[in-house]
Amino acid sequence: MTAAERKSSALKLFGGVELFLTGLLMLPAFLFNPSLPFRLAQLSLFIIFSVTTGRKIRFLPSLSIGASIVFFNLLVPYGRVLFIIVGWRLTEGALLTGIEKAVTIQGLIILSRATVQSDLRLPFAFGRLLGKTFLYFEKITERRSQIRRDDIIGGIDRILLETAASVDIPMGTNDRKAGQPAESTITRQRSVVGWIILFVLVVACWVLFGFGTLYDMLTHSV
Amino acid sequence: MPQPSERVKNYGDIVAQLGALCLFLSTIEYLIPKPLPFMRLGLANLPIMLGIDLLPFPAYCALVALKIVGQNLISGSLFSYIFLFSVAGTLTSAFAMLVLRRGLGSERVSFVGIGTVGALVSNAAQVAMARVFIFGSAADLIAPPFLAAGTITGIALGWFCAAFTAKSVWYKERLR
Repeated sequence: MTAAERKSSALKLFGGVELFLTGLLMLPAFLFNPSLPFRLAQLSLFIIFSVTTGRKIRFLPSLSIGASIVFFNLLVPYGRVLFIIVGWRLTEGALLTGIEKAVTIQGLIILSRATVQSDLRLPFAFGRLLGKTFLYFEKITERRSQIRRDDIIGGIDRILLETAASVDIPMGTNDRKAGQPAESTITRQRSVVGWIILFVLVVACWVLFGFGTLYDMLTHSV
Repeated sequence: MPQPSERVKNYGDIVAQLGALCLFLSTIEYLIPKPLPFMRLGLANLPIMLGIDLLPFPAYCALVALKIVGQNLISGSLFSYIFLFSVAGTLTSAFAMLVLRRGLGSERVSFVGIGTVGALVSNAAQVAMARVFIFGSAADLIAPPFLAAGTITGIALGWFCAAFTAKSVWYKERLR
């Protein structure tokens, strides 16, 4: 099954709002997980979900961004010294903080991309605006490689021009096209399987949070 | 006369795009190591500064709200005390910059000027919050370097904003 086919299946299976709420429910379990290994397990869960729902993950750019986050954090020494390379102290605290930040930022990006889809409609004016913002964020993040060090302004400008008006969410309540079914009708048509998958996903994420908390408590009490 | 919500609706696309840029710059800012958890370079203030001349007041308020929620979602501080620092810093700087720019006019105060004032006001609000919630009177010790750092980042961001508005096709198309 190709990525486009998987994406099309996901659109039939999951509603935009349900998917967004799933992301919101998983977010605190990921962000507040005190254990790095279990946070990595959550990241793996996001990647698996992302790939199975047809989202493209470019592993090489993600790894290079991760490596640069770790590198910049290593510039501020903190904690036990692991190595000294040409007078530069490579410290354990800075290394772990860098890895944690890299995992967190990649997890947030993947989670955001996996749980924000084109049919997202949040209630109220601010909800619709937030939904639209996340869709624009996804489009900007996809094009981040266009921002080069020698032309940062030009890169940002190109991205803004390319993404302008590319997100089509009606901001009013009467913008639905004639003949188009109401959102509630679309939601009802969606399979209960979608709800079960999302529920299992949220539970799995919180179970990993629980294990992470337990692991952290045990390792700190020893 | 259009209602405030309708006016926000009309500017929805620009607000959402600038809000998304706030989120994107927040992710970049998150990657940079900081000596204090609530200390920020203020990169995400760039879309706020761009919004001053582009947006009417209700749409500008919506952008500020998006920045606060989005930035704290990205940095994972939405449910922590750091959120209060972010609210205080963003609200004070956003409205100080708006009042200054609209009060004096764009010909009298540049982006460097409002960027510097915004950073100083934001950092002063955060030092006041740190004094109340975390450090007590010891916050006075971090105030000078914190405010000095804010001045430098404010000037840098203001300069970048001025360069961006001078060169950006996207900005010029929306300023008309």
